[in-house]
Amino acid sequence: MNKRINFLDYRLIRSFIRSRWYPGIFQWIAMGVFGVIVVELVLGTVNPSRNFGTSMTWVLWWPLIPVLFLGLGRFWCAVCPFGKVSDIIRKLVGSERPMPKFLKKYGIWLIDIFFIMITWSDHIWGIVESPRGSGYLLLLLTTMVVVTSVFYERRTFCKTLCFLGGLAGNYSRAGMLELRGTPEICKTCKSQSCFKGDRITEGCPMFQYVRTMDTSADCNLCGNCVKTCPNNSIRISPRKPTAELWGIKNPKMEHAFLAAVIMGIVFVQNITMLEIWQDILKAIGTVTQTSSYSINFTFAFVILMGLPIGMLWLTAKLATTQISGNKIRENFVRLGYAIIPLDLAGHLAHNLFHALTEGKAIWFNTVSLFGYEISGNVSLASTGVVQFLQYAVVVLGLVGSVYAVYRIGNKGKWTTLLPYYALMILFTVMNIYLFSLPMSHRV
Amino acid sequence: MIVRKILFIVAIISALGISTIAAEEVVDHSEMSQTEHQGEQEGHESEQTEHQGEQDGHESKQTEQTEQGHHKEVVEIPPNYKVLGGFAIVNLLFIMIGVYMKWFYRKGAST
Repeated sequence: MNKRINFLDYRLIRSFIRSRWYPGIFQWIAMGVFGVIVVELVLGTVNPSRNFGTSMTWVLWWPLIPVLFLGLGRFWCAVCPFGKVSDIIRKLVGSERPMPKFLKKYGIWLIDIFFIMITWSDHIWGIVESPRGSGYLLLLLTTMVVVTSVFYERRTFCKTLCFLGGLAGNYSRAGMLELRGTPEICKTCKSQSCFKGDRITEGCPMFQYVRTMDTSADCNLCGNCVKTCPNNSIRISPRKPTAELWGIKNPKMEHAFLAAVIMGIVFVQNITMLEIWQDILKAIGTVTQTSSYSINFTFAFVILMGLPIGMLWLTAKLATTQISGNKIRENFVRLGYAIIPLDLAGHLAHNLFHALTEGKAIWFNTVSLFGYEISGNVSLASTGVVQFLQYAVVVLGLVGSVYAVYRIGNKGKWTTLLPYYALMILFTVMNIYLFSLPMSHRV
Repeated sequence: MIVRKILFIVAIISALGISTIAAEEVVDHSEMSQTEHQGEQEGHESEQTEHQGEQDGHESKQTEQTEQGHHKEVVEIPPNYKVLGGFAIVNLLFIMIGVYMKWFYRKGAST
């Protein structure tokens, strides 16, 4: 039998994860940087090109986050400042009541709705391009964290309300790292301390029971189970990217829906940053008979968000005639997960543009915190290089999605899965076309 | 149980209330810069038309915009302490509720 690599077999890694330094040391660093970012956003310059908070959030962190999810799963959530705020509040003043049933039942749907609302608000009120708007968004999220942590146990906010958590969950399914228990050891366990915790360490903050956990979508890699497991059952292993998508035991509509929603958000982000966006708005204005930005944007937003969902539904309907016995809903849900690699690629490719063409702004604005003024060209790479990388990333996403379709479809004949292959190719072509057009900058 | 639900709803409403204030602020800002610069179109339209219609390639767009601060003149505005104070008060309020529930209400109930 092939023994899987387990990073916890390395003494140094195991000792570090079991120590009180993990993930605390990363959390406190992230908290410190987060504090400076928030202060700069709400008190600093309103010029996004000069604001440290804007460049750190939207030029560095947002482009980096999909790479982190792909490489390290939800590790970011273990060190996230909002999560740390939640931990502190719960420790000091938390009531530790059970998570409300409606949050348990509709959590991911709420995340879907929040994500859509935040994207819409961003374009209506210009959150990303306004340092103050970004700052207020972070403060609003902090308030939601405080409220949920005062009343409810563990990381209720991260599990059921955080839009980034929803994104993290979906992307981490395609990630290259997994934490699991060893079934032979777990089935003899009587303590269940991974879920309940022990005298020193809290149980799984994401409400997971390692014995039955078969997804990385809800594992923050916080190491609590590694610390509390008395039987050394936990392993942290590398895996093939997208591997989890191939055999999801209990596929859920809300997850497939979120995958389609993320594709819609990628479209919205791309199209609204194109130079031809103003022409598109004018064209919409002729339909709506108004020049109101809010109305015309909302019109475009509904279409763009509905497009991938409609396309997935249509594909599921087409595939129903191909895959006999499967219902539309079942096809939609099962194969909706296959969009995730393309979501990741689209998100990453879009933000590569910002990271590479505005990257030096991070350095300029960081040194300006210490009183040094540097200005000049903020680009790190030429447009040609950026576009080449964008296309390459999207094509990689296509490979991941097409292979996921093949595996989710039980390695079925290509003619049977043709509608899904066609859908993935269509999404790829749409993304590549959008990346080929001139785009505006964030800072 | 009902009290808890009401408190939770109040919390969400307060949080959303603050977001509305924040949103108003952002709208105000965009309106300000808009009046400063063009004063003829609404919202984002005004900011983006500046760059529009004169470039035809990705490259030319980049050279023009990648110089820091070349987007447009930005009118500096002071921090909005009312909004920040609102956030602080709401957060402190809930922390105080937490303190009350953890250190007084529950301890009182258990004795």
